[in-house]
Amino acid sequence: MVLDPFSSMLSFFPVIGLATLGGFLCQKSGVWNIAVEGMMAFGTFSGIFAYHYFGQSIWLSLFFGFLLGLVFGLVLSILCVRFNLDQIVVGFGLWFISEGLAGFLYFTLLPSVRVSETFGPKLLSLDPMFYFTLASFAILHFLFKNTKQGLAIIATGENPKAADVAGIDVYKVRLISTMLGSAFIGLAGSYLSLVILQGFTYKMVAGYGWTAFALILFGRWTTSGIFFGSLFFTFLIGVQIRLQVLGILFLPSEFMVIIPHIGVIIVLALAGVLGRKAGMPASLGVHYERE
Amino acid sequence: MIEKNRSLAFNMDESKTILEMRNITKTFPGLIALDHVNFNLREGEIHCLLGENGAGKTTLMNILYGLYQMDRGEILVDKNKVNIRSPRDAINLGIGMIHQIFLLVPRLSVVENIILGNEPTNGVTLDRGKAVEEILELETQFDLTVDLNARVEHLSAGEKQQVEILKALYRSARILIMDEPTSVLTPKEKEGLIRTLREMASVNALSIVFITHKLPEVIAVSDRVTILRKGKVIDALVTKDVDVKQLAIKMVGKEVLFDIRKTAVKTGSKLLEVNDLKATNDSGVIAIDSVSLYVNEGEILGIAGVTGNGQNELLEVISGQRHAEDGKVIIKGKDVTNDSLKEVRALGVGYIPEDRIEKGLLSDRSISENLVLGVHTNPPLANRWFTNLSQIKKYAKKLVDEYNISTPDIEKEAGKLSGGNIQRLILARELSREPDIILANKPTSGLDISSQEFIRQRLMRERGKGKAILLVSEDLDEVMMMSDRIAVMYEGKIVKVVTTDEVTMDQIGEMMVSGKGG
Repeated sequence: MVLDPFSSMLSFFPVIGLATLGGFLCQKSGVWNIAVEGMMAFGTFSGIFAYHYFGQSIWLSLFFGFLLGLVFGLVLSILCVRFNLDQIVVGFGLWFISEGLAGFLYFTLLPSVRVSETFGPKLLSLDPMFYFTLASFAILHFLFKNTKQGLAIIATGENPKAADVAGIDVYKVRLISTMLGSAFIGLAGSYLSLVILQGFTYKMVAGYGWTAFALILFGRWTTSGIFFGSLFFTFLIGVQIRLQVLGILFLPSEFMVIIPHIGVIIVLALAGVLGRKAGMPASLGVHYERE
Repeated sequence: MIEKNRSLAFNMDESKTILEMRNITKTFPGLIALDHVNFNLREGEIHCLLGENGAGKTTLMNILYGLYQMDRGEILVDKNKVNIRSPRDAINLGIGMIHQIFLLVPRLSVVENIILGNEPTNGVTLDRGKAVEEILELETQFDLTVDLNARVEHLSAGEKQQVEILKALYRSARILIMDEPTSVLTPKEKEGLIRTLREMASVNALSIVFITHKLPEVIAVSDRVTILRKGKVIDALVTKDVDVKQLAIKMVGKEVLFDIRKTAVKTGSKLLEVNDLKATNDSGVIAIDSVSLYVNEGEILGIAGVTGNGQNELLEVISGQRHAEDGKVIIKGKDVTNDSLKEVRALGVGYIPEDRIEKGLLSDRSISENLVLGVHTNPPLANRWFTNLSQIKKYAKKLVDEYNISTPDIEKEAGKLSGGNIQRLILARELSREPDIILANKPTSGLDISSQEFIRQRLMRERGKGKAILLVSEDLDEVMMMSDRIAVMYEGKIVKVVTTDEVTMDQIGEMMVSGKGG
């Protein structure tokens, strides 16, 4: 058996990276997006759906996943930002709905779809989405460091009243951040089904959404923190897959699957010991309303 | 205080009116916050808005700044009628507001906070260089000295206020609204602020609205003063024509008793006794050292001292919230040293904490819930299994009336009450349990005059009923007028215990700062 080059161990990066980055963007503006897992699940479905119905183009299908993520983000922000519903409750609700809906729609609307083409062109055996994810992190970093839009998002997440009196439209900032963040999460989901697993199975996201959620905490709400966190976790997945492929099953295969998650737990525990909430946007989850 | 610069005051009448608010009316559910209020501001003046908490000062200015919308009335800036729907509109009209609680983003730098919402850019990127240059120019012009690269979370209150002022100036404010700007400042910072403001008004012709309920500040800083009471304008005056007493009468609407009559009460046995008490503060340093004192029935013992000399720790040890290293606390003859808070309370101790919002209140629960807290399981408020909501309502309603807590609704969140009303609520809850011993930690600090008055009178009444009261206060007037005896505390020790009639305020003040018992 021929081994892929080492770099292919990072092929999972778009899934983890984009989902983490998306959730991060929502949280920076002050909105908990608990539904990362569900939004990814819906992304897995919408990617496959678009692939089957809109001409079998991976590019177009990925974009479709992005668009439906945008719609879910709109729903989340209408409920939480506009109508002040509890962000945790809405998030859980969206998670269940979108995960269930994804399975239901797939099995009622679609035959068993297989994605046969490989996504390319590849550079160092990594596909364009890997570089897109890298670029997205770079852009995000630039956004928060050097643009007024980034400053507005930070201010909104930290102290919405201060943002408001400075003339920033808090609702608009939260709406846009949540929509865009959710779109990235949807994209991560459709990449998982279209490129990595090349098909759809029910609950195929298998906790990666929650991993992304945890990585934001681990990264202390900084762009560099979540970037290295997602890279590290991607690497753990790579190791697990590599061991499985090589047939090194010194443990039952079920156990191998949980290796990355154990890694997350250890990392989170460490982050906890080192100071839990340092870096958390001060008004995360706090609804803002002019009195 | 600062020598006032009244160079502009001479031709005040001819100077230009730049802002007029006419017949402003604003109602909140169950409350008329502003009732046909008129207010005008001239160029280059400092104009105080004076009134008690809840009089409508901040509401009026929030309307001007676009945070609230008025129901009726009109606003004219430079004689033109304007429509202010958001802070953005106000900023564009040259209005800046500095709120009582600073609206800054702690995690961002000073520069980022100042430019937030008005960022200079090169196309897409922030132009930090240009921002710094412009802000430094403002700092020189107005003699301010904040480090622009520091993160706001590391600044002192005075520095944060400078950031807020710079924020307004950066947005080219001509009208500066300052909401209770001195409440977070040290005396020295306060002087600096007043100097800065006077200079801004006289040299740079800025017009400043200064919201306050502190009378000496009005005299020290303003050219004119508009007095609000319960949402109505009572009067608008030129400051140099009035004195503190006249202002006080107009503000509260009645002759303020600056003096409380102490009735003779027969004192009885020792209810509270503390012997050789020793305890440390949170960082493990000795905070109270060999403190001995006692309080009799029907007596108020005042603890005078500069804040931070062990007063908080003393009350915490007595009430069972802090461990005593050594010594004894005896309540009604029973040794309760290091007993739990619950046991001490059960013996009849009422506690009024210094930090009324953090420690005295569940601020996101309702007023009625807060009022029954601690007695909510007793009949008739509850039977064996359930609380009785209608009884709780009735009970709370009674206390709200008795203690004049002004609120449209007892189901409102307690944290949304004004400071004075929060303190009335805490007092109502603690006193309704009929404690025999009352520990009060600065019960009137930061309150408006009529709440102070009310609280002092209630405590006096408790004294008349034979309660033993331990009153910690920084306010010497208060200590002198309330206490039967005064214990002066300095660096964790009792300097001296004296009978109030035998000392003067100056002697107490001297002991407070020198630690020597004369």
